Amino acid sequence: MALLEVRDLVVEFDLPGGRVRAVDGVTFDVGTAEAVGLVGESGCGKTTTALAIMRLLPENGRIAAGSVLFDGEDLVPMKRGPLRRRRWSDLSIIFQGAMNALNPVRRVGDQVAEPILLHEPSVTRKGAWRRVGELFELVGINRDRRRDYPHQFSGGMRQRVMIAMALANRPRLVIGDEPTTALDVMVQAQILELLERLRAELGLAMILITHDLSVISETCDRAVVMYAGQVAETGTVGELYRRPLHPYTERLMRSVPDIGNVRRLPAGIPGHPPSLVRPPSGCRFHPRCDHAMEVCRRTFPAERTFDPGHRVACHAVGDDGRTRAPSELPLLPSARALADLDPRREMPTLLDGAGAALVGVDGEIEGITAEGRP
Amino acid sequence: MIELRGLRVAFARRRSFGEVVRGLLAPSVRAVDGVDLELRRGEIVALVGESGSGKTTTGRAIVRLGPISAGQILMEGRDVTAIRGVDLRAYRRRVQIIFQDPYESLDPRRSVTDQVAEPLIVQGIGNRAERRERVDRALEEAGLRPVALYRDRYPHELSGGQRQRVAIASAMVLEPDVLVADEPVSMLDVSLRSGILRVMMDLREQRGIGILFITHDLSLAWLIADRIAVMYLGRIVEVGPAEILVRDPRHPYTKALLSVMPSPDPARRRKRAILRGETPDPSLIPAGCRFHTRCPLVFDRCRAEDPPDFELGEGRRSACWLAEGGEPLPDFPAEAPRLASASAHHASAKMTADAASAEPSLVEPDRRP
Repeated sequence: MALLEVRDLVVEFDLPGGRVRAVDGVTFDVGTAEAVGLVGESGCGKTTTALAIMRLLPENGRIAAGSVLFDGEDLVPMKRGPLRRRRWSDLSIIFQGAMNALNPVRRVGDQVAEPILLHEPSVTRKGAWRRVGELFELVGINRDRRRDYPHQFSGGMRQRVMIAMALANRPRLVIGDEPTTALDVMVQAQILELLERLRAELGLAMILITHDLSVISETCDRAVVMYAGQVAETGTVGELYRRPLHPYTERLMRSVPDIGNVRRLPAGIPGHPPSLVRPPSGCRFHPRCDHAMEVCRRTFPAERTFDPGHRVACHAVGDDGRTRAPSELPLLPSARALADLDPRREMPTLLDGAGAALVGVDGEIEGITAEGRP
Repeated sequence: MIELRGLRVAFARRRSFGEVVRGLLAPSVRAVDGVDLELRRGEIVALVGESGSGKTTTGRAIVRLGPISAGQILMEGRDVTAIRGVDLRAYRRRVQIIFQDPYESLDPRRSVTDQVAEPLIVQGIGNRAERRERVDRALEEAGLRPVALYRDRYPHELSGGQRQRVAIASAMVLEPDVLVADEPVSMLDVSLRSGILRVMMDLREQRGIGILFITHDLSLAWLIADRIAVMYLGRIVEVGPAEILVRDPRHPYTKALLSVMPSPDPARRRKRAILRGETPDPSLIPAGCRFHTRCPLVFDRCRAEDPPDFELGEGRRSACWLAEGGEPLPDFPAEAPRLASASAHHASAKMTADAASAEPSLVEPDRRP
């Protein structure tokens, strides 16, 4: 049994325009002291998954189905009281841009002490203060700075304070939602190194959410690739890099420049993630996929496992665990149009939704000529 | 085409409460502290640095936004540092800028066409029909094809990538010779970035414009630029052809930055040389070499003397004493030096290094506002 088991998680939001399934049947595990990355473009449900695990969804959102087993216990049906005891002391979260969430008129030390005093009634004020000192040293801040105010810290140092706060109740799992996105490269490296060290020293399990696959490759053991609220592929970071099975994973991998390697402009991914109010039929990636076939439009591909721990949901993957090349497949016209595009000339037309105008009702790209016109 | 000679920009910082009480003068922040750089026709030069390095201030100075304290900006040999009025307007027609945030740089109440046509109206170019034609051409070049689908949209109807393309179109509609692009893709998803980058490369190829590409991301710079200039605390510490600079950096700062770039290939996880602390406050630029407080290869001379630019051939330049002899940089020592030693050099910088704490190497000084 893994520390965290997310099973067939479904999250729905009520919006003025109707009900949206932001997360649709997501399943993955996180083991003790394991680091798992959640990756995908914006709007693919990464953050929503994290919020659902923490049971911190906004008012209009709810977990419609599935379970979140932490240490074998399902958090989904849990009542507010016991849930609050688990939150922060068993699992905690560091938000994107969290460093801006500190209260500017309170000493940082008091802010970090708050969850300790709140969740552990047996701890005295003095004891909490002492623990804040230890936490500060753990994350690389001098303990004398407990009395300082947030404005006396730089962005990177404030982010360290937030990490200290997330660790205040000694959780076993920490979720980092883009914890380094707003930071400078060197500071990002410092924070990632810190998280790695904490993982090794405290046996901390981690879920790292980012749109940058290279950050995940650097720091995680496994990755869950999400698209439009669903899991496209899961595997070890090595497998996903060397042998990505899903065309989306492959594209995502190739979107990241690898400095010092082959110097070539990444292909990017044509189009943009679909609206989840009316997601595309079948495989949700099919309108943007250069491997798309008729079957992809009709039915959602079942998830299959190749090698232990390498799971993928794609019709283009054969039973031998090999992704067929587009030339071997009976492609949809849209896929052929994508494959035929001269990447040098026409990608800009298609990228980031410039091609969306050509997308039909269910998100299908309806023919693109060399000029990028219907 | 554009040449910067010893460019300096200094701001007077607001005095802190303590400084007011003690009757001290406002400290000056040397945001750009003597920058020499050339941008040729049809060339993409990347200006790389962390926040506070002065890269954005340099870019803004080139389009003559903000004050210039000293030095010169030359365009085709002509001094444009102090031009005003008609001359300045004519200059801005040839030198355009796009900004990082595509959500803030567009007016939410104006359609794409109005937005892109505005520079033409301001410059008094063409009649209605001609302007329309130029707007369409600019949108097309920015990859918003077919143009008819985008022309009448409003910013809220566009994605982030599309907005950035509109921003590019409004800069390109004047058919400038130089484009300053300040972090044009850093707010976009990685999957969308290459589209924007490709537009810029096409513009360079087809129009022969020179692009100053400002970014904090060395891997992006390496991808798109012919030459890379690395800035640290207001100065260009190293400049050279992109491939050469990445393969064989001659400034320890460049070398450290390179070592922390994440790679998508987990097998290539490199030995990271993580610099401790953060870039010092630009109002407290360290004496001697400005990088010496964080440099893993620091030696005595660095603390005393500011190194000049050493020419290394192949268009390379490095402002490091170790580059003086023209040899490659030595490897970094296994453990980066502790910052305790750094505090000695700037008495006024408040350092909190605590040699006695459990993990001294992680205790770092802060940039205090």
